[in-house]
Amino acid sequence: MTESSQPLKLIIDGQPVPFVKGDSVLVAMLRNQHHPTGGGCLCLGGDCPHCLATIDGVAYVRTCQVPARPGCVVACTHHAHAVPALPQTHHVEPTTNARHQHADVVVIGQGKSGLAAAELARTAGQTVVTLDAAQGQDVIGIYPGAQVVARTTQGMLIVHVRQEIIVATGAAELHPVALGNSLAGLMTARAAQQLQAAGLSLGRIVVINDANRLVRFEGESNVTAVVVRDDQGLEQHVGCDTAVIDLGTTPRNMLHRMAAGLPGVRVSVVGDAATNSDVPNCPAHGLVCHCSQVGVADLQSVWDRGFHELELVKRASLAGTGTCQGGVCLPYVRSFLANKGGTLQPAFTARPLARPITMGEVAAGGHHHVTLRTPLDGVHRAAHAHMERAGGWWRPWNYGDWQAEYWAVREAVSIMDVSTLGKMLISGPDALTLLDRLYPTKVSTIKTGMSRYVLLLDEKGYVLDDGLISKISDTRYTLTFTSGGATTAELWVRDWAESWGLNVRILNQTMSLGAINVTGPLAKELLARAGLEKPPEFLSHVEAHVAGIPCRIFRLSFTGELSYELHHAAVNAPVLWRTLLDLGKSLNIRPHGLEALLKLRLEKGHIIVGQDTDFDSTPRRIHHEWAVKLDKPDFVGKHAVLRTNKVSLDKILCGLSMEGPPPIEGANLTVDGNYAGYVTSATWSPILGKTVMLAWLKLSNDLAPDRVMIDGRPAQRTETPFYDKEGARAKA
Amino acid sequence: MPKLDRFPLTRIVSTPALLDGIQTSTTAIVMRTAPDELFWLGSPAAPVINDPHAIIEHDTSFVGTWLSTQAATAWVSANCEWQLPTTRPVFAQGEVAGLPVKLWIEPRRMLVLVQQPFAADLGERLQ
Amino acid sequence: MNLPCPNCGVRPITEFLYGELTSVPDAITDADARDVDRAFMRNNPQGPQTERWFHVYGCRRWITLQRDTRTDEVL
Ligand SMILES: [Zn+2]
Repeated sequence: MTESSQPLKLIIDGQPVPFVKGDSVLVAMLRNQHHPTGGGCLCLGGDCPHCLATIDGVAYVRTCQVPARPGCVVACTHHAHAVPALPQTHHVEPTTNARHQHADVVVIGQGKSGLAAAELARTAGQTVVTLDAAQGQDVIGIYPGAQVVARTTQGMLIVHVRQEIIVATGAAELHPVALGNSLAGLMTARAAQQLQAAGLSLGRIVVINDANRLVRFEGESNVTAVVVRDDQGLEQHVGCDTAVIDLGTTPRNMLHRMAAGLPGVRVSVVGDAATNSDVPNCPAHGLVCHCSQVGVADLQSVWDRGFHELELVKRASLAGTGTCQGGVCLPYVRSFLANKGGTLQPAFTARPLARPITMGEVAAGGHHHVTLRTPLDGVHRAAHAHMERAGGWWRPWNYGDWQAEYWAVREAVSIMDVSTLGKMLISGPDALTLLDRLYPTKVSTIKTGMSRYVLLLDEKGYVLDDGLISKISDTRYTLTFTSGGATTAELWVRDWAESWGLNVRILNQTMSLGAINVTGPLAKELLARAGLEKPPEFLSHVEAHVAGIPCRIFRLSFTGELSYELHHAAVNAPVLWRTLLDLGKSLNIRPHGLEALLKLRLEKGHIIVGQDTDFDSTPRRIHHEWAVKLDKPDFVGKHAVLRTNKVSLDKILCGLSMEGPPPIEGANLTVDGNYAGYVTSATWSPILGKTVMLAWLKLSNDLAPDRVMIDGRPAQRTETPFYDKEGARAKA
Repeated sequence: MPKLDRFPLTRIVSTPALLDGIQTSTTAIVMRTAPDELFWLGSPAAPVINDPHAIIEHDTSFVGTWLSTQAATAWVSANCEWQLPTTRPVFAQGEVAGLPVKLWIEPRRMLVLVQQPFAADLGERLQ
Repeated sequence: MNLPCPNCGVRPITEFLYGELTSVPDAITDADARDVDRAFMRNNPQGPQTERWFHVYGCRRWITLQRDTRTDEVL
């Protein structure tokens, strides 16, 4: 069957109806005696809300702007003021495409003046992008940047404008405001011309070209008569099938108002959009804003309640806040206020979006924030680890059996992927000066080959991060930071190094190096099997090969057991990991995830900055005064620490223990029924057989209560560490 | 999905003046990522720099792929909000497809590099 | 909105992290009070300000620029 012999059809409210090639969806509907919203003056220019319908599942589409396609499904069961039903399916729309383009000049609108403006800019040697709604490039917003965002037939187009935005969007025709203006059969003069050109019969026509003479429209659903006032002031009924509204135009300048004032770009308006046309006469009756169903009486009510500024009248009445964004009502609202107050107020501010867009269009070009993956990510997933997001990274939560993982650390040997740690190398003649001013510890007393646990304070004396300083030589140090704090730490270190003008070189190695923690009483034995003959002593570090892979090996402990942290080139992480697991088989090695680690560290009372600390945690409040040397000449936060030390202590981070299962983290503490703080970390300790916690506890009269209630159960304040108080196991 | 390869490189952190003085090579790719930092990729090896405090680290964490000009143009147009420089060959860095990328752009192809933690997402977002 | 990075070129503001202003109002003359203001107060000043931005998606360095906080114009 040839194309010409098959009638073109689209589906309107479930019924196939024929259309003619070249029809818009609206014209096709009118051809079949459908009015999309049941009534209201149609403009066919994209300015009004009267032709909105749901097309192929997308609501609020201006049917006059969409070419009819065979099989497209139109639902016009709703009126302009009704909310269309949400789709019942949960299917996800394919992501709408986005494209970026860069240009000196963007011209919006390609009528006579838009074409001329574009030509002029091209002649001046500027790169020009033109956007025209008639060619399917519908500008939906203009943003700082400046960016002009348009919906196109190929998805969303984002034009980045370097110099100038030229608005040449022409003028819209005025709509009638009178009783009966929601009837079907009303259309503007341009609309009538287009429909006649498309071969539609409009029946008996009355042309309204003098708003002063218009009294009302009459009819049930379709207009049957127009009532006008004649020269003698008498009402005349004129029977008709179509009322053609020819009341003049109003500049289509919404996008100009949206762009005006954006930094870094010129904004101009040309052609009919630039005209300063008179506002129409103040209407006496009828609907003004069809989107929000605001009539003249509603404006009067808002006025009477004291809202006289246009911006306030808009917010109080909602006139101009609907899908056409004031395209129909704005001239009349201004006219109403001018009539009341005596002055014509400028048009209200326009902000994106200019038109309703779909969620897919909102999301076009967007990307989810990345959750980082360590060099061992694939290894963990291959081992069926349960992965969780923590501190911006994908991390193994467990490998299926957290208890076995926990006991492997406490009684044998285990490895953990700690590649997420912040890692930084500092080199230069001023390296020591930088670190000594930055950290509250006496960095000058750290010996070459040694490491020290350190707090990092901000200028308010609050704990910003914690980590390790390791001295490689007199002019070279490595730093570690918490996984979540690595970026903040880099900002911090670079900012101060620059502010002080110090001669240092800084390299952030967080993502360049893998790190594996080998921990447990048999850790030394495992490393011996991997060829490490002289492992570092507690709080020292060495460079050596482990399983043939060059590593820097640190000796510290977060788990409380003998621990070695192996830092190595990222590429070597999988081989090192697998080799350690192989070599440790007869030692009953197994890797552990975060779930086990959180228990292990809490048994030791080790804090996690950001979980156990708050934004105002001073070293004194978290019982870390030992990490702050106030007899140092100066360091960041020293003034603030001295200042806050003069104030009496109001709360402390302390250890608590209780029988039974742990409360949720964040649970409140009470003393005598009064709020006394909250739990920051809580876990059931397998080795102690009770629940251990860290919590913020309020002091009263400088005293901390020994017993508190949590969820109706008693808890006892307990010195930390809860486990291995002397730290003998870590130092073994 | 294009196959991502590892691009081991040398990172040199030193003073801007000393890095300015480094003779670039016609065969190695030299990316000046910051006034005080430079990436050296390929042979010959990076030249010795007269700075006892320089940080010179072999870095194995960068992965990426070469795209044809056509593929690169399509990818950039869909994913990059800023304008690429027009000279060739040229180094550029910034956010593309939501990732911090380093680009080495030659007349007929473009190298896209990210650090390993972003690699899986780069692979997905190159599709 | 774009910011000019002297190392990388013009980039969208989303590539940067904001460094807080540490300027202290001139009206505060007492040294102690200036300390407190600098550490604890956020003054939200209007008009041209010298600001620090960190180019986290590019060179990962701090840049210093002048921005008018009323208009967002980079000066
Ligand atoms: Zn930059």
